[in-house]
Amino acid sequence: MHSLPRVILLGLVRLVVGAYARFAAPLSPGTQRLYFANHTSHVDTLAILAALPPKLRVKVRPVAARDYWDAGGARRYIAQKLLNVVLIDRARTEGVDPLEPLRAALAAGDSLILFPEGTRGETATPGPFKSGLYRLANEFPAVDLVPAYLANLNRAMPKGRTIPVPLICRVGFGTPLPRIPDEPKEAFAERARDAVTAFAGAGMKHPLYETLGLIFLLLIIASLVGFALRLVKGRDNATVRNLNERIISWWVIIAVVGLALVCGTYVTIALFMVCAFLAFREFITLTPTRPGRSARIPRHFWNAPASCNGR
Amino acid sequence: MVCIYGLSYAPALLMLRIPGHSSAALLLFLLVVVQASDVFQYVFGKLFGRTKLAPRVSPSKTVEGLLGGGASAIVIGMALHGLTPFTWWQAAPMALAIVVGGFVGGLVLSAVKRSLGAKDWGTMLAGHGGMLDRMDSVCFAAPLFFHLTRYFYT
Repeated sequence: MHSLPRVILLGLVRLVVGAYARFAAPLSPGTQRLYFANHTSHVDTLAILAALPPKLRVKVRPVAARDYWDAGGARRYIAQKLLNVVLIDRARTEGVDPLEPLRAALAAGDSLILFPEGTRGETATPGPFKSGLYRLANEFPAVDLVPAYLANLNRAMPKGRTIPVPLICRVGFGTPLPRIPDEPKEAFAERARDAVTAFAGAGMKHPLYETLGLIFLLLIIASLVGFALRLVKGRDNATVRNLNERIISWWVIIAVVGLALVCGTYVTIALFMVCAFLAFREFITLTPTRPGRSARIPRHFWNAPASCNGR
Repeated sequence: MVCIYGLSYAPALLMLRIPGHSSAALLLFLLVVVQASDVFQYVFGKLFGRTKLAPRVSPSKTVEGLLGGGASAIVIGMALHGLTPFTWWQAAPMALAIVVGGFVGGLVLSAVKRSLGAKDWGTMLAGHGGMLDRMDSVCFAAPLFFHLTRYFYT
């Protein structure tokens, strides 16, 4: 599942709601996990997927309510083609265990994202957990139970909204929940819920956005200084004119680079590829080339990024 | 090829996995320190520049600019240590490595430029010259920073 629409969708999620990950402990790829989180909005599933590093994302399947995610063409396309969800029936039917599809997915070796509240809550802190997580945890003792806390998503897309508001949201991944033998259902639910909320407060700051904000502030100051210098020294001063041109270019450079960094790894790599190509083109323009040599140029260009990806 | 191979080390930072830290922030740290070094070298050079450093290679580089710009960039690097897995004092030698790499990069590509008889690499960025005029220091600083970080922190 590495299709382009999926990458674009998750990039879009990162652009609008940030979805920055914080890890209490490093999560290594290859371990089967059951991520469980507080549920406050319809973007929660997407936010967790977007927050996970690509290597961890590979075999992760979100658990999604059939009544929402299987209704309508766009939702069904996103759920089934892009997110590879496990659909769960919230409407109980006699004699059918709604956890059955989850068991099948876990038995097949997939990791799951589960919202144990079963429905979206109105508040930032989660409501009581249902027993599904407890039962799965007992039936699959080898699967790591990783608590995740979604911060701010209840503000980005509260109940009743269909389009998320741009807002910086964070996803905190805690340390795997230890298992206690013969623990009663209620005690486990309480402990799991505490593990999720433990991340609600401290340790969730993300410095990337704060730094970008600071840089823009500095740019504004630089622009004001440039403007003041133009008033003092006059329009014809060459140094001041050059300075102001530089500051305007900086606005463009920082906007482009900042946007790329916010969108994620692939956009940033693409940006650097374009920059490298442009720099290379400038270099070639000034370098004398012999007729036979120019044919080799494209190969050099495509080789360098390839060796970088293989690292 | 200096500009492509060297530059590719900058996005390669995104492939480093450091527990609890985002590598995009690491890349931002590199870019901010490199460009801050360049900007402050330019500012200090314009304000206090007296002694030319390498008049034949790069007429605008001065000793005062280098010292002032380098020191400013290191201070900025230390202030931004929150972006990285470094502590505030570890950020200083890292920023120093970036400044040195960036300075050498600017000097080397300037020398290439002179030998080809040009002043700027291009006209793409108004005021700066070409893409390579802005990227020259990144080309040299990125590999240095990448390997130092990879060696000590992963």
